Amino acid sequence: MAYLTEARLDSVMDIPLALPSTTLQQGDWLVVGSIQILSPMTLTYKFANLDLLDSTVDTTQIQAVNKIFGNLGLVYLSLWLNYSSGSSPGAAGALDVLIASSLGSFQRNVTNIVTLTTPGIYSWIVANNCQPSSDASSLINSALSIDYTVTITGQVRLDLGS
Amino acid sequence: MAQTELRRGEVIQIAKAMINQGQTLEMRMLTLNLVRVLTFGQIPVYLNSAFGLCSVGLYFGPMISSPLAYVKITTNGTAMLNPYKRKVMKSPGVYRILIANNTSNLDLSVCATGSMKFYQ
Repeated sequence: MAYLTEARLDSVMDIPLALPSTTLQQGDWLVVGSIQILSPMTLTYKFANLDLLDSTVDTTQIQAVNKIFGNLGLVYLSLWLNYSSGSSPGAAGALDVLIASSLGSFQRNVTNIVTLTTPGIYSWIVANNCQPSSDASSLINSALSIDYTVTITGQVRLDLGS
Repeated sequence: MAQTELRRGEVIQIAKAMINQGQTLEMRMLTLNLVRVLTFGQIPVYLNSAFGLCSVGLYFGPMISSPLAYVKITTNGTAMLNPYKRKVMKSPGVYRILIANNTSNLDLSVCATGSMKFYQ
């Protein structure tokens, strides 16, 4: 069993990821946090909570045609390495995704631990996965904007490895 | 601070901590991400050439030009403090984390992430 020494404890920092209640318009995304690591640092990501507090439409009426990515729910929080601001955060390549599929609170599975050691810039991005649609199967008027009020609470541990 | 629009010349207070005699505040981790420049086709006009397009720092007083520690950024991307160097504050008083747009003609979209340790 490893001992937790003062020097060991001193090289560990817990960094908050927080987004206060914020309106996220359809198709839009926000960077919630960015952390750059170098060798021999380690990032450990366990805990994140995504709350979908409010919507401008009845979420039960949202159909597949209203979603930009069919498998990413209404709103998602994705973790990216070296994300560049022009690309969509829902595209393939995210390291971890937390999905909110309805109004309510969605917690990441804390037993699924993501350990990151590759040097680079890690960014947590929250995105609204909805879009207007004039398709016949859409129950929502395409003139309406499908916006959500979201809150994020999370934490990531940075080990400096020194 | 999650991604936020920071308009030209603006300063936003992200955090504030007050310490008393015998207490210690330590900062090692502070990252600034310039996600996007929102004003296109402009050559930046700097308010203070030392602070890049945008800077985030730890301040003991109100003067935006005299941080105790700061991170500046001059182009899209990320910059951070050296986490292996400690910034230890023991003087009683109010410490603030401020983020500033250092230009008079560009609006920016920025994100700042960091943590401080408090010892009593």
